[in-house]
Amino acid sequence: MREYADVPESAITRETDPLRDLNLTSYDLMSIIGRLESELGVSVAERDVRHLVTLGDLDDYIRAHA
Amino acid sequence: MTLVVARSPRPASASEQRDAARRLLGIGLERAFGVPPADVEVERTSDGKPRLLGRPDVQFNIAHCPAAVAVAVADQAVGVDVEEIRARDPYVAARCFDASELDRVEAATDPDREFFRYWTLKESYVKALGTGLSHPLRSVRFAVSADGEPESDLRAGFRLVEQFPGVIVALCWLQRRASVYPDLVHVEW
Repeated sequence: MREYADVPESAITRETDPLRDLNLTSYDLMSIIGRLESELGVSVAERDVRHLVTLGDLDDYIRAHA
Repeated sequence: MTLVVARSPRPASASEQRDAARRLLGIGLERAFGVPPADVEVERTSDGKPRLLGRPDVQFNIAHCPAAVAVAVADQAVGVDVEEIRARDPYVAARCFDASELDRVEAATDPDREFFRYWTLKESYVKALGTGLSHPLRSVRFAVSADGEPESDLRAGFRLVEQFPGVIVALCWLQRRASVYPDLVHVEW
């Protein structure tokens, strides 16, 4: 996440909303999701993206679908 | 339909972007609907979408990045996106771009500009729809003609604005009318 947001590590928690709290854009979010798909071999369905609000949501999704 | 754009002379912080967006929204609302800036009060719908208090006839959409802010104001559903042209992201390309778009990007004289033309057009469309990233972006396909006109089979109108150095703005409106030509307002940052 720190490659995308210029914030201290302490600012990144499971509760962090990357769009609201880290000022990331939809473009950044698509890059992060695409990168996770590529590197971890998971597939994130479009219909699920709107439910991935916090980094904890994303972590749980990856673990459940890996 | 009014599109207000400000290009930042240096990378703007999140709060600077928000401040600029508020200012541009006031300019757009006054210009398009005669709403005095003092009367601009924004509320959020149950699904979190901002709207002008007491004016259901007024629609607007806001986009910002560190390089620029863009605000579209219209009497119909409208979406806007703005991005600074930079190295294209292979993960975004793989997830969101159709094979024909990828071919056009790679064949373009300026592949990064071509890439962000497609990205901003896609984003403007899903913002106008209100679906955001839940919409399958790969299926929202575009081509851009040699004179910069967006082409698609979508039931919507599109405009690309590329007159600001290093940034691309895309505008989408859902009720396609041949006569629509957005009033473009350039304001100083």
